[in-house]
Amino acid sequence: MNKIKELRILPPIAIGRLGEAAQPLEAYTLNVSDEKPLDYREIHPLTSLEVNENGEVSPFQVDEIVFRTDVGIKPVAPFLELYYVGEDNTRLYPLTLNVLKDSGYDVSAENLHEYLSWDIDVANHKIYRRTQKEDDKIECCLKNVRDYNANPLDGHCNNFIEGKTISLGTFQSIRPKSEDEVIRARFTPAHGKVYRSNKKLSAKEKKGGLGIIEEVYDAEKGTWAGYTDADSTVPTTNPGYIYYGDGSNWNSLGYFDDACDGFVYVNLSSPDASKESNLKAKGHIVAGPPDFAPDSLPVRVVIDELEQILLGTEADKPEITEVEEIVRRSFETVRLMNTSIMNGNKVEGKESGASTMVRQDTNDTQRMYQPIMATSIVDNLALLALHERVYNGLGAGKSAWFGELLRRPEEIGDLSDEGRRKMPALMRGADARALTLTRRQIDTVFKAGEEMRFDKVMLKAALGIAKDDSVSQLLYQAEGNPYSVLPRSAISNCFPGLEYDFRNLWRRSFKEIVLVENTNIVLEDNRDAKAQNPDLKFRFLVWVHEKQTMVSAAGPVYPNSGNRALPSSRDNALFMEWSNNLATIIHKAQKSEEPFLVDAYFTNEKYNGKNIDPVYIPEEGKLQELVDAGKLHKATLTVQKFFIPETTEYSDSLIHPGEMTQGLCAPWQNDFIECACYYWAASRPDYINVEADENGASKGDNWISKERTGTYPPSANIGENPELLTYEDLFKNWQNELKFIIKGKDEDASA
Amino acid sequence: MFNIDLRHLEFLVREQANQERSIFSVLKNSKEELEILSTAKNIPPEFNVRGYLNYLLSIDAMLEHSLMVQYLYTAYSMDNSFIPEGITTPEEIAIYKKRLFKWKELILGIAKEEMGHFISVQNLLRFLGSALNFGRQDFPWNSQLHPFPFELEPFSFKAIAKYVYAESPQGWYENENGEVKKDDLAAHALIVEILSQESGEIGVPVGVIFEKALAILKDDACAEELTFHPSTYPCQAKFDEWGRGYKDGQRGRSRMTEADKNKFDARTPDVLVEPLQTRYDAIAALEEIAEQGEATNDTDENPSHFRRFLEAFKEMMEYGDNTVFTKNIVTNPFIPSNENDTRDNAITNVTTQKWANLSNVRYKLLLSLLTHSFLLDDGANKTGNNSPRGLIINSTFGEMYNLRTLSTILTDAPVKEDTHASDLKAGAPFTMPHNLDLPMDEHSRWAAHKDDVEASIKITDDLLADLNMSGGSNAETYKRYLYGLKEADLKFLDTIAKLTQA
Repeated sequence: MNKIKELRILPPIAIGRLGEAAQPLEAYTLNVSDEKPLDYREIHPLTSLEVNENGEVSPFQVDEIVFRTDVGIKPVAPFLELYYVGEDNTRLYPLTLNVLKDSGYDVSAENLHEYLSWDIDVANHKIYRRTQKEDDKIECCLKNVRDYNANPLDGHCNNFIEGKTISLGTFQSIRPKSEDEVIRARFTPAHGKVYRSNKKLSAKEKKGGLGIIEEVYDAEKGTWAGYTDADSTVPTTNPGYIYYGDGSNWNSLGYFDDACDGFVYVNLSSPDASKESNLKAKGHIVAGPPDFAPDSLPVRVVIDELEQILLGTEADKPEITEVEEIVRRSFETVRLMNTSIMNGNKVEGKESGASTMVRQDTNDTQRMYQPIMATSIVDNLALLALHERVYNGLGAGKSAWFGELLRRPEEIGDLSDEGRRKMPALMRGADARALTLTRRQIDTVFKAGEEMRFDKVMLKAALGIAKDDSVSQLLYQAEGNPYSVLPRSAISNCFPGLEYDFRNLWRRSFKEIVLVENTNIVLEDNRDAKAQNPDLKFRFLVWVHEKQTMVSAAGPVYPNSGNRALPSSRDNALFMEWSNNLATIIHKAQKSEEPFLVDAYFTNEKYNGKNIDPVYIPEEGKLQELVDAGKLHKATLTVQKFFIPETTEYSDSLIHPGEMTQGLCAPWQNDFIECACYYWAASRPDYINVEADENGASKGDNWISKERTGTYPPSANIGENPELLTYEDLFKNWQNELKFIIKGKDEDASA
Repeated sequence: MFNIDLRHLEFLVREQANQERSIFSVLKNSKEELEILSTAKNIPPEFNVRGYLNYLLSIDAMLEHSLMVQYLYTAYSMDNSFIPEGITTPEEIAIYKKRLFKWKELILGIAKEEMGHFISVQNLLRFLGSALNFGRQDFPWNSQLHPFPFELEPFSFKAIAKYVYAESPQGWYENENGEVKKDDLAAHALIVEILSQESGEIGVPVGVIFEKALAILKDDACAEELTFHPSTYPCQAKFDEWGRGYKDGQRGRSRMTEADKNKFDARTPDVLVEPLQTRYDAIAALEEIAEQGEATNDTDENPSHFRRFLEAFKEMMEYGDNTVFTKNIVTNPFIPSNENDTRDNAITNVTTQKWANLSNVRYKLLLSLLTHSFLLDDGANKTGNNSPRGLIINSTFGEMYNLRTLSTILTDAPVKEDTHASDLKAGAPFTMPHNLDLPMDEHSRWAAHKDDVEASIKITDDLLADLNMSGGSNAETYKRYLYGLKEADLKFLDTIAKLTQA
């Protein structure tokens, strides 16, 4: 009798990381030391798995995790395990040959693939995102894998030079050694190569020694070499111009990378080996850059977004440990940030020595240029001391008291001194404004303060994983996987992001339309022609479900001017990231059995091909009036279920291969040059080898300094400061130039 | 034991007090009359104008400090794992917990404001070129300017009744016709009943200090005898550094509905930290402090401490005036010199004594760091990082968090060894250090901090050894805290070593 009711791939969302070394990174987890709770997380090796020539795995144990070999960085190559929902319909159990046999399959390792097959559909749409030309999509669709070989994932693109492909990695079904071994597969990402077009090298490229970069893209066929965001026909990425380019229009020089994202599907036919697949499951995979600070975790990560979607914006009796984790992640970020510079302090007397939120606030809203905090209290060591003591007092103090310190999502336009000093301070969120936590994280901190004492007890699963325990499934660390496979290690305050541009998850929040990931413009109206009255394409979505999609900006324009409406974008409007914007209705839709419909209002005005700034409708009471006047259009939209009900699989129509990485830098190495530490210091470190100086303040190195001198050259002139690594340095040799930072220091090994 | 000469307060009191003022009597003088009484040049014999102004401000600093610690002790005794008798249904418990949380925030908010006053008065002293005063008398102590002895009391009707009264304006319970206000009738009756058992001698309100100090500052003739030191501005405390955003409702209302935001108790702490450069600044700062503490401009938008305490008191009354709101927590805990001391508030439990020792050391460190911050320049607050001022300020906040945690631990800790015979719980003793003066040179100041940190580590190790041996329900949590405390201390010592190596 068939025990297998449903199939699952665990982890359902896996992060692969690029690297050229032959040996993938070994398995580890992260622990907080009992006796040094403020120290860096301990990288604790777990049992790793080596894939043999015949496709079997052999366990082995290492004493330390070494992140780099002489050849290059070790790729993070996730194992994907198969689980099934058993007859009890409540738990997930590992799928093994024995389980298959008990379910009526006449199966062994040799004939497993008579019943079971894999499909892989991954893509790199970075060029396409800019040019909007179908022929610029790099795609790999590998169907019907029924062997134990490491199958190459060759990326094809119509605009490649004839006969050329790029490797997006390999995919291998693992041969079970025993009948009790879980059935699994492994995705190994590509080497992290940078490619270019065959356009003649420019002077800039020659000077940078880029003649050694492999030519793959045919500049005669496609327009990537020479493209500029200035001529884009659709709303550009935000930030824009994040590709390797040159000239006053920042014309692309035709470079790209081998990152990708997409889906792995597994198909299991019925025991009688009929050709029809009876059961299917899918998992999402991505290949992105390594986590260069593997013992630190970022403040806001992918799992925080997914929890908010699945569990809602309100935390139910949170434990103090959950707040501790938020605060710990905060100081893990602070620890690797040059907070004085990020605060806007002068550097050697010079103003605006680096790209900071201070500069962004002025640039985007014309707020007065002014450091965020008092300049005297923001040194790295001073701020760290404060955060560490907050963290340390939480458990024994039995409550959190700082909920009010947190910035609320609606407060991103509050650029007053007090508003900018709310936490997390000095950092940038997915909407380009000061970072906020997710609504759920904020609620966790508040509840932990109001409850004061905690009585929730976590019960460990006795066997298997509860079918409805979506978070445990998302955080499932399959045997052999490093911690950095998990969505807890991937940042989600994407602007544009590192592993993902996770903002793309919300583009299809509504079934009828596709939105731009970074602002409130409609990109596609998929309703049938009749319903399109008018067509919503390129209009601005300004209200949805009784809530505006933007906030207004206010702040001082000169010292003691008080807070004034800032002449930021048009109509004083700032777009609020989709995640927190739509969190409440998306969770409701996920839980609703009926289609979840909402009223939405769109401007009559359309995107003009240039300006992606949002527009602002200030008063709810005037919506109908504006509709009657023809200034707004009302439409009813269906909120998408982000996950297939009772699973942790993205809904089929939500996200397509290539979309999760399409808005990232092309190539991604640009991000490591351009994005300073007010984004993701716990993944892309900034301030390292930090120690106290003779003034009691900190001194240390800039992570992208070529030489470690104990001084911090601010990255004021991006890509041009001879003391810092350049674009070209990274394109040619990023695997040796970029250092892993362990315990705050340059280090390739954990021990 | 820290002591300040309180003799000269008599002068101030006499200046005011042809008026007999017993408990709940109404001071008949109008404000104008009081101002006339407080003529600027009328000062006690042992002072000149400048000396007397400094004296008044030092006394005020001591009062603000005492109020702050008193309120903190009360707030830290509040624990929603203790549900008073009679509150039984889940709904009742939920409502009670919400209220308790609100009351606690209210008291902590007022404590934060007192801290702002305390720091602002140090700014005034710095600006006037005077010695700072971070000290106060040990608890309990009496002042002619406070109706009751300052005491460390747990949350109770009695404690809040005292706070209501101590912060009350004249005739708060009467309308313009001298009749008791209906709304306040019951609260007034209960407060009278509770406080009738307390010593009823009341001096003059604390506001007279401000009135006198302001009279001196405003008087041009007096001002000629004063010296002002605007060059101390870089060393003075600034809101940006100390306020933590507690200003004009920026913190505390984000979770409220629009309707709730308009209620009186939506008022969040408004911490005043006023740095000074001119005589005008000094006058404005004192007026602001006086206004916030006193109830003279009591409005819904800006309710006084009195008003906030009174509203909490009225809500407490809904639970019946016999309600006990906390565990059996002692008043004025102390570590006795004699282990056989049988007084209730003598902490004789050996482990609790160690926690109390630790709390005292961290309190001393807090005060030393705070003092030190006034000696370090902020680099004109433009370039930063040219002094360890930021480290000092943030470490001071760190010690506030430590005291919060240690207070919580101590309110769970038995006072006596025999826990069957006594269910008394302790609290942080907030014992004043023997000396608050920092050494004259910078290196020695850091050495003084090092002394405190090393003393703390010694106690921490001792407590860890106890916990490793005895375990207990909170052992793992407490160990985590102690390990973290020690780890942070070792880092601080490392920084001190770097700072003093030259």
